[in-house]
Amino acid sequence: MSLLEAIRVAFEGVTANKLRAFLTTLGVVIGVGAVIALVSVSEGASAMISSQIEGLGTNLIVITPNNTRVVFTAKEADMLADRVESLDAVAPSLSARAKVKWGINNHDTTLEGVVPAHLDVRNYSIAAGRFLDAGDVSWNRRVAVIGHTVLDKLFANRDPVGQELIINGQQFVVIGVLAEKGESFVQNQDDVVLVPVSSAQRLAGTSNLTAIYARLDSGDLAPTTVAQIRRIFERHYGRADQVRVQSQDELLGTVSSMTRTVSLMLGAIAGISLVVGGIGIMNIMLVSVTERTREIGLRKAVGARRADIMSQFLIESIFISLLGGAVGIALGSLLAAGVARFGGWEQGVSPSSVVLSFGFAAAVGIIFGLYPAMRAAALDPIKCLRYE
Amino acid sequence: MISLRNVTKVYATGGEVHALRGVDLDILPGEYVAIMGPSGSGKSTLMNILGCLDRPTSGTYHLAGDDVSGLSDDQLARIRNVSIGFVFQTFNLLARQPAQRNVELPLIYRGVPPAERHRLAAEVLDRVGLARWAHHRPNQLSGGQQQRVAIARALVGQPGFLLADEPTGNLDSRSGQSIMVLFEQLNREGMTVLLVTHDGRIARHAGRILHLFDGRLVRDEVNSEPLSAESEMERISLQAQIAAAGGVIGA
Repeated sequence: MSLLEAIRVAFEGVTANKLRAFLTTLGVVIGVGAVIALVSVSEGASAMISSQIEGLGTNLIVITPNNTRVVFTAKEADMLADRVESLDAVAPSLSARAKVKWGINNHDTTLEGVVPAHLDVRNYSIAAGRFLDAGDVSWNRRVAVIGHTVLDKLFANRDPVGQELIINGQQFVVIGVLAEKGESFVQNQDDVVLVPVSSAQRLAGTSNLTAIYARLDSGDLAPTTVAQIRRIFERHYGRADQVRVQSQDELLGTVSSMTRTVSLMLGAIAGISLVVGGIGIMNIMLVSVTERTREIGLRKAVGARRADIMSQFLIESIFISLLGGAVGIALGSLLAAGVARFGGWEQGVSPSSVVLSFGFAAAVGIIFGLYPAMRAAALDPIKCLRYE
Repeated sequence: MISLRNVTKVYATGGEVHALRGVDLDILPGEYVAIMGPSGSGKSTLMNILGCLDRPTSGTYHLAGDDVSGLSDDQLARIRNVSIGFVFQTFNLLARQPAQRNVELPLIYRGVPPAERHRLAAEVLDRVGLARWAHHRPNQLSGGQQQRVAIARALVGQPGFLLADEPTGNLDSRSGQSIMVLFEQLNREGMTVLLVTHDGRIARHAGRILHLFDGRLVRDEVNSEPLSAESEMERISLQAQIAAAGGVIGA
């Protein structure tokens, strides 16, 4: 019997019981759908997070205290600027929550005391007005540069430059607006008010800093520079692990290991549902073999060989599982598109994941269809013809 | 055509059952043979062996000169496909397939290309008088028509002989008789027909009647005056008319 004819015979078997075939495919549908969705979602999410991390600033190094007893002051920032040659710029920063007010409009936002280098180090750019300068910092001027979200919330569409802004009860003058940067995975980088670090420290009644940002001359120097900074702080505080020093590469590494974990977890779920789906297929195929005992007997009587019967049932189970695979790919793609819309990243189902999951579906059909098919092929035609 | 020598069959399930105890039998091409016997006589076993569905425990079976008693399952499947046309009591048609496709089944397993298959199936369906019903499914056909489809299926591969197991058992006497008319015509055209039955009246259509008892061939009877299926047919329809008239008179 030709393969084409074998496929036709198997197809007749499937269409004989459409509802049952459909229900049988559900396990595979869910398994394949999960594979498609998880691959697409984790690829999309990690691509988005990576681009956000890169958007934080090129060749960025972030230094933060590792516990509450450690405090940074301008001294530590100067120390780094003096001693680490591979750093292009050092930008100490003090950030806190603050209530800002213009007229009757209120908004809760992040207040960050920064230095002029902050603009470059953090990859911001100015949309209107000007950024803080050295004079603003040394004279503790009460001037502020606002992010796009703050502009929206307080000023609607009016020009804010020159307006008076009340920050935690103190008067500041808006001198500039930051260009829109978009949401990062940690925070909304546009929901921010930047003031001179000295003014922020005075406002908070402290001389502490919350973070030191630094920019490398070149990304290749990241590992050695991070190690050097760690050594400097170890000597400074007399013990290791007092500060956290993170380069962009490390942040990216953290994200990719995170997405790997998520992928593995979802992969396990997909694997389990494929196995469950496969067992469902096997079960139905065994029922189908029993139901069609007489048919098998007849086919054998008129000349079907073992291989003919075997291929009939095997192709049938592969057909069912591939059908499930196709529906699963469609559903998984829809799900991935929905999640991508919600998460705000580019949606894309990679061809490799389609091929992979179709392969999985075919494998499930073969593995779980083999036993019922072998049983059917081994049946004795005499007993089959007499079967009631 | 068929030659059995000292064929025995022993079933080992739950103690030894001797279903056949040494059968010698020769059937020549063109014969019309009925195999009779009560249940438990070994009739079914003999039929299974003749039909190459089963192998004898000992003895030899030559079919068209070839020894088929020691062949493998797949080799036997090939022999069944090429040399034997089965007709069953319960028709055994594929319920979801149209008559045409049912008839084509042996040719599918023989690897005949579709166009050729369709032509041959249409031919035999015409031969059994069902040309108009080729695209109907079994549940749209009467019992007699279904058995005709089954006979067409048996004939389509141009087998060496027809092996019919109680072919009229599930039919009313009228359509049963029409099947017997068909067998008679086929035999007249040269087809070897083997009829397995327990019904003496059906068996008397054959030119030779074999009586099986306790696994042995106890009588090989030449029926010099076989019943003519056509005249039987007339007798039955006459009876039916009398019965109908009686019903009218009674009312």
